[in-house]
Amino acid sequence: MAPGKIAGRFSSSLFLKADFRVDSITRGRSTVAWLVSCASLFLLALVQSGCDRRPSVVVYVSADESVARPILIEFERTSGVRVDPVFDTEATKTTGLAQRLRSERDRPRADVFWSSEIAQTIRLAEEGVLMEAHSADLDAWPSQHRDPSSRWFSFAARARVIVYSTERVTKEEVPGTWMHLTRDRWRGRIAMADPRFGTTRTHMGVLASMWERRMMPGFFEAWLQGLHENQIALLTSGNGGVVEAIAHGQFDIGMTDTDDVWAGQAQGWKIDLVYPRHVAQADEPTGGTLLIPNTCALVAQPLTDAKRHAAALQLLEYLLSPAVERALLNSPSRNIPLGPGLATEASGVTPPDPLQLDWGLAAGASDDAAARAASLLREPAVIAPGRDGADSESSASDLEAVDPVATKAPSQLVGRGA
Amino acid sequence: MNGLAPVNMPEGAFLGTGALLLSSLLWIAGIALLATALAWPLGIQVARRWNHGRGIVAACVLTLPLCVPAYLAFWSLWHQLEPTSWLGDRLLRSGAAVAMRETILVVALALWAVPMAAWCVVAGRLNRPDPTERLRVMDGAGWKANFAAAWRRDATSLLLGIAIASLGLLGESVSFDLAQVRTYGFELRSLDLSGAGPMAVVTAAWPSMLLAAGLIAGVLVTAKRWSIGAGRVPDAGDVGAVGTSHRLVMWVLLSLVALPPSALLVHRWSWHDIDQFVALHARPATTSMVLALSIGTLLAGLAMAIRGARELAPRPIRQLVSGMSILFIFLAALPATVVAIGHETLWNNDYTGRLVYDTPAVVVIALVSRIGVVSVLASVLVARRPVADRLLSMDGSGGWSTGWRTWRKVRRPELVAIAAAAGIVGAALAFSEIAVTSRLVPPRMQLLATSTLNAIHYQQPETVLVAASGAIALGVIGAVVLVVALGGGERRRSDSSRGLRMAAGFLAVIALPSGCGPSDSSTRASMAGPDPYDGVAPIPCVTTFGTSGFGPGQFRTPRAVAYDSTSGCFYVVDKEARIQRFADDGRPERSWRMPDSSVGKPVGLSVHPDGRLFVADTHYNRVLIFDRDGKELGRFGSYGQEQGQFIYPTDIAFGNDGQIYVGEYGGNDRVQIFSPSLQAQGVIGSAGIGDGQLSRPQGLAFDAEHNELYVADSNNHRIVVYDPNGQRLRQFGSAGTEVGKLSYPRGVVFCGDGSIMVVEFGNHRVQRFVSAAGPDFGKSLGVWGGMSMARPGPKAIRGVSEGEVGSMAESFRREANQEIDRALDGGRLQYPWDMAGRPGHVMILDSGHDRVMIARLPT
Repeated sequence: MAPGKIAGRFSSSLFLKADFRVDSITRGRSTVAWLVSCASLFLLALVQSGCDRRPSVVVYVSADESVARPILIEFERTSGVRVDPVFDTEATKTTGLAQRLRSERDRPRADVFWSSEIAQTIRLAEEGVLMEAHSADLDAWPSQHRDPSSRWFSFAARARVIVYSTERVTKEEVPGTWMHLTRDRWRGRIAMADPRFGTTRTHMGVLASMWERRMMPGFFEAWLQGLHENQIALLTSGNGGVVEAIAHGQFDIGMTDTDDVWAGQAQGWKIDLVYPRHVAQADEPTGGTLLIPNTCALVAQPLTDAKRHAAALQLLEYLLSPAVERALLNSPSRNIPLGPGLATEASGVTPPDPLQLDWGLAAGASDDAAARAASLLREPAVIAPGRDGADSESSASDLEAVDPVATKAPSQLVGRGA
Repeated sequence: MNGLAPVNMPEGAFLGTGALLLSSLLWIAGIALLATALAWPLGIQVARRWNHGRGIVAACVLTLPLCVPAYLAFWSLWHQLEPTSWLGDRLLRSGAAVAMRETILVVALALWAVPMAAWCVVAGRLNRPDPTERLRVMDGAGWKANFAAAWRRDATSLLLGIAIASLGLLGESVSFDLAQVRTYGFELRSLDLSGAGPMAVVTAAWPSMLLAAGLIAGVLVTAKRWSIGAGRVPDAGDVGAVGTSHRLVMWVLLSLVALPPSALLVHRWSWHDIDQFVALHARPATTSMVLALSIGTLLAGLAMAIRGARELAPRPIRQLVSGMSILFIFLAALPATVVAIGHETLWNNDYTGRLVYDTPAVVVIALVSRIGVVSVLASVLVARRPVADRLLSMDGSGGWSTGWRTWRKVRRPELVAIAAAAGIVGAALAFSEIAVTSRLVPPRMQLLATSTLNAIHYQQPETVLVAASGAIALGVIGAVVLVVALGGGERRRSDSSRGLRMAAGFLAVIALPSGCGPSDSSTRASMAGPDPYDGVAPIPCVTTFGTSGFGPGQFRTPRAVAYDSTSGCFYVVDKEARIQRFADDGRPERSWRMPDSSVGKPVGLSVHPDGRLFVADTHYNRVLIFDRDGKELGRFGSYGQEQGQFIYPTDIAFGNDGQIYVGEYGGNDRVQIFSPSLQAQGVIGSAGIGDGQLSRPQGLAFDAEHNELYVADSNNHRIVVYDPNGQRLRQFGSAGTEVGKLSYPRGVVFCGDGSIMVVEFGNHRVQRFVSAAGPDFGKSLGVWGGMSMARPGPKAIRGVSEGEVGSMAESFRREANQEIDRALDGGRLQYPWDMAGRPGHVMILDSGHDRVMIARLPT
């Protein structure tokens, strides 16, 4: 029968030509067919958990799914442990998963938490949502990259950078420090992700806590005020949205992470990055680039299942192995390994002078700092008296005089001395 | 630790002001108005053709946009304006990015919402016919009279369309986030994520809840008051004549509606993208499909049950159903986050946790509660038949216990319509829903919507394109299955039962892989069939070296390789713009980077007989010259089409008399001849596909023995031979995968016996051909390789067979990850970019695996 005729018959039945003919087929058969269809559909939707009897571990993952999933698949294959990951949407994922862990704390579903940043992990540890993890390998992890009580472990970091358009800005013009974002030349040209989420939130906490001690009280608020007067845009689409906006000519520079810049460059966008310092060289030799690590931790369980606990420990050890750090280094996000033995391989992506800081203080300050930033930067900008665009000198020139290395990207350092 | 504050709702967590609420509502209202304006003429045309087959086809096309999530509809159009595209570049230079982005947001969401409004117009027209329409046509009434008549007839339907489109858009904040338009919904989500409790979220969301509840109530009241759903049956004679111009209008409008899904298919994704998508997302895609169909089926049944209960059931049951309908309306009005938290609180306990919260059941229940309002609306809006009403009352079959079978027979056409409406819309909404599912999804369940949204954020268009194409295909399949299964009203019930069994069987077949079975690609590779390589022999590989990475001896998509016969060393350039020099035994000796690489990386390099390295700095439209240690000795060329200028230089070759040949593409598509002093001397070829023309001459090689230049004319899938002055001598090759055919040849190596080896990027193989002039010229002598099934990623450094190539075996062994190593297929390739010759061997860039393969010249 031609499709048109079928369609015509369908239409006539669907919207009511009179149909007085009564079908004579056994009336129970179609009811059974409907019931069987509905039941089979429902059961098929539930069949997920029915077939696999291997030991299993549930991991909540806020790292990039396309990067994390192959790693988890590889762990599954090599260990024989079934991994059930839960991912969330990128724009809010670390915060969203942290909230889930809090709301499920009385009956947690997750065994392991793999976060793409550290501040939320520290908060969760302090709230008792995470628990201590001990084994020979875990205890051997560098102490500067784990909680003193072994409630979390950090690895595979990303750097906090300024991304810029190579078509509209030269590398020399780009600020060499975060403070120089307040210069008038950048008015209306800067973007950042909403500071209430992800690594931007973490960065706000770092800036607030560190500048409070290293610069002066109130420095962070003054900096926010400067950004506000520079009409910095807060974007709803996350760090990736910042990079995209710059590539589309909406802004010239922005605050983001290294992996988002790599992703944009892979698309052929004309963008690049610099590694800004947090303090001037003369003040602090370790005031360089912020590295925000991935973290992994065991989720506290009211009742311990020995098998699941062993599987969870095995997964933690695997995440901290050189194979995974190498895999993350070689992935599109080019994470910087923190474990021993990979320094040479990572020389092309490691900033020369990572920032040293107290993560506990930074994590504690992130909530308030993020809220203050979001609240202030949303307000309409009012230019303070005296800020009339008089300062137009190069932002990098003063740093260049102190340390010409500070403004160089690691890529330009390859081959030096080789 | 010190300095930690307790978790609460910090000041500034919620920035939802009245102004933001108003702007959000204005956005939604504007888009709904535009959608309804587009839907009005479309609905009229579809309604006019309803009794013809084309009407149903048009209706199916009309439903297609709902199969693509709204945020994908936006992204699919916005992606056409990538900065690297011509349009995107113009947009960037005009400074109109923000305005264009917001325009595309409005257009995309309006086109996505058109089906909702159009169906309202169709339903209204079919149930409230205009007997004067034929008279106006006969009287030749003007457009004003027709417009006024249409307005009177469709005003209610249009209002309903605006209301329903607004409802659909009210819960859609993801698209606005992607378009960087801050909405009230974004702030509500921020409030939840900041640790505020559900009551705080509900309190902040009361304006939007009130609006949503008001809209739904308004829809129901208006439908009842104006008797939509209870109108007269239109006969064929009521439908006016359909003119050519009207048909044209309908198909033009349908094309507009199908624009966002079609835009996705403009980009030609490769099979590699599908392979990668399947490796990572096959399970989430299947699970999402099964979930969507399950929800659609449940909502279809629910809609029929509501209609049946309203007409047949005794009063207490009817009141219960009314209460349930109000509950569905309330849940639809609540913010999605609150619904998710509610289910989390309800089911995550020791009694129901294991059975419900830890299983997909919680997602199914939550989605039904969230989307159940679709069933309520379908049960009210889809038509009833007064004739059937009279039949039922005459038959005295109004009683619940005795009349439901009769009622079911008489009402069957309406039930089918209700089920179709609720099922299709419900399935589409369930497939794309994120807010509720991301909060509740159990660990064992992976859904595609989250993965797709993340891929958008992480600039992975290949994944998004494949996912969206799958969604469209699902919609088409679903529509076809529905039409076939339901057939026609006059078919015997057994046919419909068979159709339903077919549908159930179809769903079982596609859903079964989601529950059991291995999920890693190596097993998938072993399940690919008895001989995935179709008899193509592996390359006689001696050794491979290289892994993915940025360190010495590591690569990121190596693009070109060149061998220095004088020193025995070879050079590789990769997508990091890094050039590495290796010793004869494969030991990395030195590396350096191109001075500029932000806009692009080189795709070719060659070693001059005097040892200098010439690099085609492709995206900078020049050639750079280095010494063996990476010191730049000079450069030549600039952007342009004149002699001596370049557009995207690809490769370099050197003639016997010192001439330098440089290939180009990107519009020039030619080979230029330079003197040893870098003076432009001539041009070979021009852009095109005809004889004497070239299209991306990617690989150049000079046969010193016979004084001939070989050009791999890549996009024309052929090899062209010239004399040193550019006179074309002969050529062979055409596109294909069979032996003797070529697919994007990239590199040529001379075997020294009158034959050449050609590496094919598109066929993932090497092929040997007769190169000497004569009757056998271009004859294939064999094919080796074939596409490796191994998943790209971190790779091992393979060990070398003992006794194969002397010192290389000893000096080239490193620690390997045995598990990863086992995944590689020896002698197979994945997107080989280039090839170079060394005595007795070829060096092939297995670019998809970031490695170099050394092989004997295969015979």
